[in-house]
Amino acid sequence: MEWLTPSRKFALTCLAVIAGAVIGSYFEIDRLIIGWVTAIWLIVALSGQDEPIETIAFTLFGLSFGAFLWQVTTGEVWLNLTVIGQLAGALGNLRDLIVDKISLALPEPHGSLMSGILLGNRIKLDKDLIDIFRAVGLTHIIAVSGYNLTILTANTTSIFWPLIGRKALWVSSALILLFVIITGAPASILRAAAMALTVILAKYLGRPSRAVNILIFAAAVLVMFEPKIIFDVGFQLSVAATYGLVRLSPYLNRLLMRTKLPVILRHILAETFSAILLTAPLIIAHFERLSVISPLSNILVLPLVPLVMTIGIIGALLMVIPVIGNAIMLASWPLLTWIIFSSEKLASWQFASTNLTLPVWIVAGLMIVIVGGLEWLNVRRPLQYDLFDRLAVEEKDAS
Amino acid sequence: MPASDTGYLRFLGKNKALQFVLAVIALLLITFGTSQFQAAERDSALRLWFFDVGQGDSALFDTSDGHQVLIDGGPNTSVLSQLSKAMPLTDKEIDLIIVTHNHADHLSGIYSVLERYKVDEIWISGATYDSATYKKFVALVAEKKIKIIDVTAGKTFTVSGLTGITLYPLESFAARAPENPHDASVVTYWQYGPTTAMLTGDAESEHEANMLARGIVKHADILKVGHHGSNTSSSVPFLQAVSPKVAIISAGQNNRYGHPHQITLEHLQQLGIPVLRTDQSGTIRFDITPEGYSYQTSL
Repeated sequence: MEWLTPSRKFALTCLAVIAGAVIGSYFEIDRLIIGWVTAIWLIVALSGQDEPIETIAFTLFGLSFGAFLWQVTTGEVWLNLTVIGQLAGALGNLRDLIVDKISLALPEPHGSLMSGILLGNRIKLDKDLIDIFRAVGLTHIIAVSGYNLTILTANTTSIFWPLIGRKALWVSSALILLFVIITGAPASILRAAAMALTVILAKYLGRPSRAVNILIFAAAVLVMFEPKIIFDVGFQLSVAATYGLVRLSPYLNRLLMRTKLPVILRHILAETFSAILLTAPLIIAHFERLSVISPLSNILVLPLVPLVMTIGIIGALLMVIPVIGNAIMLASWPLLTWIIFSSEKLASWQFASTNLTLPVWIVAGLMIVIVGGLEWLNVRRPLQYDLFDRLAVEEKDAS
Repeated sequence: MPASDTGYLRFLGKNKALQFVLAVIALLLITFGTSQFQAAERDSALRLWFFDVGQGDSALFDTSDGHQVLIDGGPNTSVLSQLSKAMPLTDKEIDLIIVTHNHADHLSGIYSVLERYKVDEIWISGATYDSATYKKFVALVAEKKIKIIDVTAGKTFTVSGLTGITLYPLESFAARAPENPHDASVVTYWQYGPTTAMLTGDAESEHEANMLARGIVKHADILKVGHHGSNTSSSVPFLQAVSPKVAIISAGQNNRYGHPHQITLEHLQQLGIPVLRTDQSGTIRFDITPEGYSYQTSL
């Protein structure tokens, strides 16, 4: 039982909560009984029993708590963040103002693409362009996601860390909160923010490398606040993509080291392919479509996104002086043109996206094989991934 | 933690702020270089664009010295991407917008244009219409304090050698709500050098007959065929009176109205008038010079 470290035990309990909520959604269980069961297992778990009884008790507590949670909430959000809602109402105008300013500075469809990348606002985006992004597997760049916020936090941290050290994490957190408020705090962004904040918290506490545990914890927290999120496509995709980033990309990166590619390209390749591989089965299951071209389009486009975001944020901040703000915004024009141009060209290729339907059990089997294989690999040759450093480091103290 | 090594911007070096500023400057050079290059490449011809905006109408006159007249905006925001192709990168001003009538396939796109461009003047028949699109449009025009003129036949406009005159409606529709919005169609006639063009909006055969009766229908080299090629427009006497050298039909691929109608196409064919269709040829551009005109398709 040496491998069962406290953090792994905690992650196991979190997983059990998620599984419990899934079970609870399928079965009608009396709240009173399940409440009692939950309480009993919690008491057993906390009563200082020997292993493995303690772990079993914690797991059963997690399962029954998840089921209890679903029975009580029927999957709905039970915590109404009215404060954030009110702030969002007050600052919703600010978001509209930023979108307006961007569209005045840039031509179309560049302007709405910039608002999409920056604020996840795709209302004004050309339907044709959205279809093109869908065909080449790039819709994630026009939605504020865990990906966007991870880039944002990574860049902010790397800019401020040399200046103010650890306090840079506070700046990142503040920026995430600002983002949540400006975008009007919809569920997708709250989710992304919870992910990013959890990662920052872990960093602050100095335990950055247990990324999978952090991911499970973040997912469990989200499930606790809104159990039905488990069945949300976006949630599943972002968890799968993050898992791929954390578990698979260090190995791909290690493989690519032999190719003598530049470091930056290697990281992008490894991250892109791992996210694509982990989300592909889910995308087939939910959308019955597979974008064959998406590895290529992501490699061509993703490296530009952080620069576009940085220019967009600075440009938007400087919009108080329209001439300067507009000028800086225009610096994103060549980059946005490249994104649009390359997506259009790739989408026009007839094999860009194919329809593909697979039975649910095959999809589930695929996921189990991929995740199981990665976990097995991780036990055999542990390589850890730091969400901030994006560096694969050999875990020296792995037992 | 080697924090300064993180992020994709790492390749820019150690002093991130400086490198970022340099990158922005380089990108700005590309942007303005491109726009200068485009301006230098632009010949002195007047350009008349018929935008492929799906099932709807949108046409633009673009003079070589940067003046624009936009006639209708199509059914959605796709007019914006088309305008970006047609207009210089830094030009955010349109001299005149003409709304031929209040149906959404002509008016909707105008709303998004008004949001993003500085518009000096709008011409409209003045007829009201009970639709959300129309109300939003009126509210935005009021909010932006744009000069809006209710026009009848005889209103003229001149910019950089391009002259336009309205031929319809013959009577004022200001503050009236005609049962058929097409009754208030704004028809315009344009001249640049020896080349003439007529844009009829969705005017129907009845309105064509009214204009013929007034004796104001003249020959035009380029005719934007009425109502997306529907058989309710383009009567044979009207086509004979205009006798265009080329007819443009602005319609969407596989549209649910079956535009353009087979009968209209047959009439045009019988009169020996070549037809260009946005549903087949995409966006069409005429380059009009004092010597004559040429056109390109699929732009």
